[in-house]
Amino acid sequence: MSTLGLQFGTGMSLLEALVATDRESTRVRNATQWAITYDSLDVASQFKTLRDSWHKERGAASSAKAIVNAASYRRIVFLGEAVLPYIFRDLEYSPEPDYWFAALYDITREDPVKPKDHGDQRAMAKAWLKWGKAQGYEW
Amino acid sequence: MSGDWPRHEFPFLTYGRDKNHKVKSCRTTRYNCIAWAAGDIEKPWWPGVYGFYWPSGISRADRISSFVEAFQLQGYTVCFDASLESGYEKIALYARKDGTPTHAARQLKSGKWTSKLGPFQDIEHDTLECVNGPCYGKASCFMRRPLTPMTFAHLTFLVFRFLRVGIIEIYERSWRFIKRNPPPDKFL
Repeated sequence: MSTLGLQFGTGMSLLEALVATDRESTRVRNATQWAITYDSLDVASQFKTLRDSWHKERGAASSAKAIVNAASYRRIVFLGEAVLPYIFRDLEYSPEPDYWFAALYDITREDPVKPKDHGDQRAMAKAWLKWGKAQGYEW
Repeated sequence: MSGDWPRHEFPFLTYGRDKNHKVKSCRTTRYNCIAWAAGDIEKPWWPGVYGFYWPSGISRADRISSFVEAFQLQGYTVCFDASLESGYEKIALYARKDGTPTHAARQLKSGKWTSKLGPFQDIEHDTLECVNGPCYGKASCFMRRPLTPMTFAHLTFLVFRFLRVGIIEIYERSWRFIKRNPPPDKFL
């Protein structure tokens, strides 16, 4: 109705207004369906989907800023503490530790890594996994 | 060996008979392009991001000037171009049009360049332009340092580092290969 209401004074014909209304309602319906589907996924599925999408999104970027500011990465961070076991699991079982440390730091605001080990991916992974176990996380 | 990076990100890399690059390593996240240009194969370098190494006392802003400062610590000074000069080794810093730093490449004695492509492999490429594109922009700053003759101490350091990194890598990869199947009761 709001789109129909807009036709007055905009020069839009009734037919154009009806088409616009139909498009608007389809867009809203699709967006709502998507949101419901996405929200109904459990954290594990959301994490897996976002992780895969992050890998595609970052491509061959070398810039750490680009890597950790990718939209999917930020959405993983936005999932909060619930996502920590999945990150720990990925750190432990992937062939190589991925760049999860910025997300871990952003979520927990903790830094269990010794200053001399900063940047050393394997040492950082070990320190974070040890911290995760000490905090009682299971993965 | 072929690279597994997204090809559309490097439109100037050619493949097949006329290829202008060679893949020189396995893919790894252990180090990145900046570390590779600086001769470090143990830590990825980037300013101001947790989990990445950056020399202490150097600006942590995401600007070319921070990278210039970091490479000055390694003995490099800014120079005019990327031409091959005897007695010097050079690096090139890449940036996008807006000045955002994106990548670094190091010149080899042959005049070719070596780059680490993000989380993918190291490559040797014929010219700096080979890795130009939407991902890295283009080379926008050049630095050089005098080549010093290899001393016994430096050679020993390199051999020990190679052994240490190699042994740790083999151990970690074997251990992760053994553990590659997570417990079945969980997600992923």
